[in-house]
Amino acid sequence: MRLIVCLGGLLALAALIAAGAADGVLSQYPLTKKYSNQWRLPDRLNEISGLALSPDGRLFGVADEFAIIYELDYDEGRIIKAFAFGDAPVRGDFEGIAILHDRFYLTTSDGDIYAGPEGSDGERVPFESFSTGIGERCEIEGLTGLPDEDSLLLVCKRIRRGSDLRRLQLYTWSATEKKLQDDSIELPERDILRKLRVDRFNPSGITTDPRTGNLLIIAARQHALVELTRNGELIDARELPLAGRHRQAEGIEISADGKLLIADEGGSHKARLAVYERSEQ
Amino acid sequence: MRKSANLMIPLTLITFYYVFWAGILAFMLIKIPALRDFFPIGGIGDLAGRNTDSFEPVYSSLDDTVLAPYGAVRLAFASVGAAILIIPVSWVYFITSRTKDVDQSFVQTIIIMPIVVTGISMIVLNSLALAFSLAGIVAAVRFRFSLDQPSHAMYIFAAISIGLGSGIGALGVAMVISMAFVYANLLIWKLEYGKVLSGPFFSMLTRRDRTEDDF
Repeated sequence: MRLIVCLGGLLALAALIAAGAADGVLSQYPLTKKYSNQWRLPDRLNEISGLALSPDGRLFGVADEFAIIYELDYDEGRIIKAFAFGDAPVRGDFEGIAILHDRFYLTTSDGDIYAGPEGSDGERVPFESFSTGIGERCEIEGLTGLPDEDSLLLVCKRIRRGSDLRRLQLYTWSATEKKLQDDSIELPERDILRKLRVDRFNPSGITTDPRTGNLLIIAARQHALVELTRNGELIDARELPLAGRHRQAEGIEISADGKLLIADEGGSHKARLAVYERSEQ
Repeated sequence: MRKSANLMIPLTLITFYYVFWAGILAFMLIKIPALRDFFPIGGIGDLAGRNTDSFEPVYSSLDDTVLAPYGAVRLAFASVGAAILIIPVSWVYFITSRTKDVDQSFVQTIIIMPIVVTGISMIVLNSLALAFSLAGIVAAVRFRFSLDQPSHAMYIFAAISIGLGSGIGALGVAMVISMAFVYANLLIWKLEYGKVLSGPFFSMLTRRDRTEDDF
């Protein structure tokens, strides 16, 4: 009798886990060739390191090394325009981009944030810069906007040596107060590692699903996609089925019409931008 | 090239031929606009529209051409178009050929060549890897033959150009290539250009004496 109860309990738990996964955003994307389109990007985007969607649905990207922001047309496959922060574009290790209302934000791996308005093609726009202070503790690799909270969310890729941090964190930076908030969230690393069956997890990009508010984190090194609630609870984690198409996934976004966009840094090859459709079901 | 003769009849026939097929194409596109997806036209615009700011599709070169659901139909139309456009080129060969007995195998080669090139270029389109593969295959089969006359090379190039034009979905461009080749050849043949260097213009151009026989 006890055995039957235990088995029943296990089955119910499995069903709950399965239902939880099915409720997530990731499960809606088959991530197969049938539901995808992929572009090779021009040479100047070889080092693409982040993606962001504007409130009106336009896609923007930033490449490593310079604070130059590119508007990308992922339907037609072309660069629409490019503008830079500063007369001489700011140099840095730019790892993420986000848009809050009409303002563009870039982050470096050291956790410095650069903010400026949108420019026209070829324009150099004035900018402000802020130090979050996170860079001493961990290496920042992803940035996304939380428009409702007028905040930015920064994700750590790895903890720096000598840091007091035990786990990778998600940090909130208020665009209103221009400072880091105290409500950092620990990533559920253990759950993620168990689910992915890997030894390490190194996020390389983050975005927010516009419909559910869930967080989607991509990890280039592990070829993995992870979905978390806004509170940092694991919903789903899976390997990219088409890992061969993703050399180094650095940017992730979900459009208002549900397209999942993933940008891959090219290194010595051309960078790529993949567009995944949701399944019809 | 044989000696020039009256050009009016062949010129009229060839012009009528081009107008006839262009008319058929225009008529079909106007009556059934949905055919536009199947017809190999507008490809040159796609190529011209690409620049340094354009993305390159990872899979679509094949997906959009031969592997597309209508790829085979498009290839069939392109092949027929290439054949139609090479026919006047063969006529020009007949008209201007120096000998009465034309080289039949050569004529058949220039008729078939654009059809084959159309298929190849549709497969290779936008794919550097496939282009290199093709080069390797050609090298492996040692595709070589000698031409009887230097002018035959022109016909081979014209056939390849028409095939490439059709293969990239630019039948309009292939038509212009065909017409330019045909009319230019007929004109040069009619004028017997380069046969003699006498006359006031050539004397002025070359600064040679009109009576000077041996140049």
